[in-house]
Amino acid sequence: MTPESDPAPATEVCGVSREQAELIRAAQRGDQEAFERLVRSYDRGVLRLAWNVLRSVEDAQEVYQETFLRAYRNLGSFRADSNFQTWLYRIAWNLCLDYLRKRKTCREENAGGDGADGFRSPLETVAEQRPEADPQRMLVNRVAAGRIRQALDRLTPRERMVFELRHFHGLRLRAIAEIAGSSEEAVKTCLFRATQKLRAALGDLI
Amino acid sequence: MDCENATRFLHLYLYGELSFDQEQVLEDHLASCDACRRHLDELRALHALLEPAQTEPPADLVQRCRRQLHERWQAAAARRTLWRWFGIRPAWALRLATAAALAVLGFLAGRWSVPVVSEPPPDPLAARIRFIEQEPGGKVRVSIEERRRRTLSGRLDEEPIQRWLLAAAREAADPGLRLDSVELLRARAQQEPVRRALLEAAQHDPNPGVRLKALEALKPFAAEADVRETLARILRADENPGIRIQAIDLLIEHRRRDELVGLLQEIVQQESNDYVRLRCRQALQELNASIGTF
Repeated sequence: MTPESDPAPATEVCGVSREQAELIRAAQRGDQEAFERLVRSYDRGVLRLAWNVLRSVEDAQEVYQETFLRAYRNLGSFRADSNFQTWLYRIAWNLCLDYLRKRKTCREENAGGDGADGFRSPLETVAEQRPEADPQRMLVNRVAAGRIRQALDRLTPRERMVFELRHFHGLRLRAIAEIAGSSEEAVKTCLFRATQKLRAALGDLI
Repeated sequence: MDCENATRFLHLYLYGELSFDQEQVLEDHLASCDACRRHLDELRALHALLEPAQTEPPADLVQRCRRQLHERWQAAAARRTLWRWFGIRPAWALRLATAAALAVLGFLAGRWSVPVVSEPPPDPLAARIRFIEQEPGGKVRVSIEERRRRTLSGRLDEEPIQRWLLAAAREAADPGLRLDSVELLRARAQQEPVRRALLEAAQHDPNPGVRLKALEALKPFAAEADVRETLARILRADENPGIRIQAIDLLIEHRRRDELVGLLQEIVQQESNDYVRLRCRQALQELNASIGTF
């Protein structure tokens, strides 16, 4: 396994490759390089989760740092036969939920503002600096993107996270239930509610 | 199964989260229920609509995060080494440092209060206020997020530059940016990822100017199989007659009679644009082939 690659184990024991289990054991003994190799196997997913849910470079960076620092500090309590990805996502899940809840509280307290958080993808931002951009197309794209963002923002933090992990990260509901520390049935209900809300909010666009 | 139950299963069906038996029951219901089939189509359309909502973090953000994490670990490791050198265990060092910091803070708090600003505050119009919190002691904490423009500079062969150009050629909302990226990438069209991006742009870019520019970039490779397949697809499907003409010109530059005659005859039969039809006829004449099929 190269440091950049996703974990694709040849031999797996309880969802953990032999090589990965060795890395985890080495990291638990204090081998920083081993831990950094583990980080590189999973950090893109963690960052993508935080980036898409929080839509802020600063917050995504903070969640990234805190996820791996917490993981490093608590590595001793990780059982080598467990799923390392699920364990990491559980830490990231809790951090993202904290941010979303805090943000929701802030929004409610500051009700009356426009509610926009100013997030734009880098390409979208650069596009506006070009005078020759097609204004009509940009407007249509921006209106649709804004509506989608608003609809996702209106989900509860748990619905938002469940939807993100199932729809965009492709995690199975069983894994999400483990990450969320709840039952698979509860996650199913959460996903159902999220889908219904999105369908109601975006019905005229589909 | 009734419609109410089916509704609760449809999204799980799309995600492949139903058991074999549940899928069978649902499919039986769908076969006889127009309303639930429409509902399923709506959910499929919703999924397609949401697809672009998922974005990759900026290309350099992963590297920046890794660097920061590495630096924090190095700093923590250096601190542990230093305290060990003094013969003090890190846990005790932390307690001592915390006690000292509290003592100093207590002293300062009793003397004066200064605004804590890590750097000069930005113009409120150019920044976004994220949080405003009231802190004990009558202070207010304002958390600001600034949007900064970053500039990358490097040679075309350097990985970050090429990655951004490829991303811009595929994803930039601004056709001007896509055009510039394609123009720059043409110098590296022999490389596999660049070739793929150019083939994709030539076929699927919504802007005809970008498609044409990508076709120009592919011109030196018009004899190669993947490019010729793409040119044939463009000739059959592109809505812009100018681009279809360009595809004909590139295809007949390398006169492969067996490959071209059938395609050009097909286009002559189907083509609605007079000039494209005329160009196809000329091309067939150049190949000494008949206009129609017999």
